[in-house]
Amino acid sequence: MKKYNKNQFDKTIDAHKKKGEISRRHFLLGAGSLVFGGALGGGLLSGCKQEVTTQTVSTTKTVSIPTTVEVPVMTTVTETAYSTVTEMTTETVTETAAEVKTVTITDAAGREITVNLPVERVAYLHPAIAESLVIVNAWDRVIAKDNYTFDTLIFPGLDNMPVLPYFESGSVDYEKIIELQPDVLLVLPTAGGIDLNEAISKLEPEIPVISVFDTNDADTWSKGIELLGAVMQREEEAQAFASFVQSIEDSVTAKTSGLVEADKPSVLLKISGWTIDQFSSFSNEFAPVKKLVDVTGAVNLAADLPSMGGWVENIDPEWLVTQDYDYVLVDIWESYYPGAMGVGVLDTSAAQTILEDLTAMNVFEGSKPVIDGHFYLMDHELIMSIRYPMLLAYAAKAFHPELFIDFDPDAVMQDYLTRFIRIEVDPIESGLFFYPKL
Amino acid sequence: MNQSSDTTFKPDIIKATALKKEQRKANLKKWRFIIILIPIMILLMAINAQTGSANLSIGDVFTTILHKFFPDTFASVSDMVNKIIWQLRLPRVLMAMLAGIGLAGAGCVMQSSLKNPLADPLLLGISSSAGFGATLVIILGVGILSGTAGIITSAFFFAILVSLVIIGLSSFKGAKPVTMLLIGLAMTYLFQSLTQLLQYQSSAEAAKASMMWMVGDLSGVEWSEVAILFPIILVSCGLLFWKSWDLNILSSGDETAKSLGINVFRLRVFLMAVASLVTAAIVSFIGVIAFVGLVCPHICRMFIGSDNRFLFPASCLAGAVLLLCADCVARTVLSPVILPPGVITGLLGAPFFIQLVMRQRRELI
Repeated sequence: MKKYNKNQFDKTIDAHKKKGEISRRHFLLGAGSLVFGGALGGGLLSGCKQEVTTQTVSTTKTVSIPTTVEVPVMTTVTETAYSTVTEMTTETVTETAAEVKTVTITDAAGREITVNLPVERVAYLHPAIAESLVIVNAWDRVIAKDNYTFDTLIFPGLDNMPVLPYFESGSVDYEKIIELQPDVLLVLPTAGGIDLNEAISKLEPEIPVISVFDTNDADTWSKGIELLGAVMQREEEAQAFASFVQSIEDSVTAKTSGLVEADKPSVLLKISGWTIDQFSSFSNEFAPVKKLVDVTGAVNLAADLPSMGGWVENIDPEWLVTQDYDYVLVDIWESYYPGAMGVGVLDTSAAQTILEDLTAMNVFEGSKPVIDGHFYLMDHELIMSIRYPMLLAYAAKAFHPELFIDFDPDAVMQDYLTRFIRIEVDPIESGLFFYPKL
Repeated sequence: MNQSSDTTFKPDIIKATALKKEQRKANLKKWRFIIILIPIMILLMAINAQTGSANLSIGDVFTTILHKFFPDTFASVSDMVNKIIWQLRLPRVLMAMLAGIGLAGAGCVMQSSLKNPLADPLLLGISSSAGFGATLVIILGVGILSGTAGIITSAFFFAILVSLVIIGLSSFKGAKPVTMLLIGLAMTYLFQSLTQLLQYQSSAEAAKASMMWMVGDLSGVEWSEVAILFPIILVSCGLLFWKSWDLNILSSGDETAKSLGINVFRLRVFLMAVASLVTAAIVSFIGVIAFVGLVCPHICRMFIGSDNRFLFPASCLAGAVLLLCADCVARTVLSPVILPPGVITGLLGAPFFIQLVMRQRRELI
């Protein structure tokens, strides 16, 4: 199927340039002809405008009756911390006789975007999107990766893939993206320091910029997968994942929804710091953490602390000493604790060392979570990526072991890895996501 | 003859005696200023020990402190209070005091020996190089070169390295003040750029971690760190105070100092090396605390003049007072969230300093 591409001329020029077939003289001559021809053509077109429109309508009526397929996506109105409104939309896949299919979607930034189908060349700018593409079984269409996707077990072919270095300070290599000519650029509107308006103005309409989901709103994550399913024409996989996520949430809430406040344990979520003694956390202003405690039946110790967008910076350790809390969940991030946790981590010694260091700290030594053995490390991917549903499973089991006696979070993770990531990894044998094991 | 010479010298003797008296009076005034600062500093230490996120009474705090020394006389309040006071608050209070003393002392010596009112550890590149060392480990650190120990080691290494480079390069030009200052300034920009380059290419979290370190932080201070810093500050400040008379001579001009038998080059290098060592040690442990080294000597100079025998100890005490004040505000204003004390020193010190500068008409150095 041949795809319409406005940059075909530029591509041809580039290809010839690479071959050394176009000299500066040729280029100027061609450009001059193009300008002259464009002016002439433009004049002719403007003079015959009515005639052309009529012809198009006529063609549509007689030759191509559009085939419309309706795919339901984005079924709720979601207001996020960033006031992004993702409206319900029915995307419309339109097919004409010239075999130009398009799909119209409303992305996580609330923009209505029409994308030419099929999407064969994908570039993305956040590691969470990489895993989402694997979930919808479209990783093989990725032509350029971000500079934070490293796991070759999950993402085959990384080594030879061009990198689109985007830096957190907001500098995206647009030149490289334009050179690579992906069919779409997938981004997250609220993560990675990407200026969405800048990306749109520099790349569209040739390269549609699609905001997949909002990292600050866990409710949009599954919908982001559905959106990807529609764009990549992998609706079945996306629906399967949505059902999987819903089943986890349902099975957890079925047991925790009846809990009264007194039965809910108080939890300190310690966010990864560059040194072990950094005490940062999230207040309930950060939607994924609020959802975590709401769904799993717990209370966030830092729920009401002063925060910026939910981020609680530098908690006074002596405040912690005076608090009565039951659990500690420590975020273990690869960047700060390389090789300690994650897929393929066999050795638990690094995690054990971190746990021992943490529990020996002044502030935790002799605390209730340490005495009761309710001090857990969790892989950063659980809280800051599409694997969030598995965090609900692990946390629910940790907080209420008596309610979840037959519930096995490792089995849930196993299911996720085999069904959606399509790797044969046993989380009990070959991965460390929550430590100590439940 | 004798009678006539007596009558000639008599007014001079009277004049000299009057001057001596005047001098003694002025010195007394200076000592009074220093002596006033000591109880203020102790009071602030007590306030800092008493205030915090945990609501502890004054009685509990002092009983817990005294229990450590007189366990038979003073009963322990509770394990929790004991932990808060002895493991969390007191190391922080002492670190704030030591860092204030060291930074202000180093600033005073740098300003006097380089004869520049803007000279301070920040301007001479020592803080920015330490910041680069810390950022390097925060962002790229692996293995043994990671974590707190790695950050401290790297920050100290780069701070000392830059100090040596400044001293070494300026030695070619006879360690002239302006040469040292310009090389220091160039070092500041060089390491700021390198730090920004690292931050620019790092993740948001790592960049933020580096930024947090750069604004200074007294959280997580431990006794072991206080124990390392204490002898360094004590010995360095002792050495600088010992050289304060020579510093006075140096302040009056290189030629004058030379004519009085001072080896100007050696003295300046010695003073800068010790001041750099103090700064490097402090910055390695708690990050960059700006403003203390710059402003405290100036505040004291406005009250007691430029005699380094008085100015140096007064600056040290003023530094401790400013940092203790800043830390108290940092810990209480948004409690239990702690603000960076390095930011508070600027917020507290700048308006006060501007007010003093506007009222002051004489020269700063």
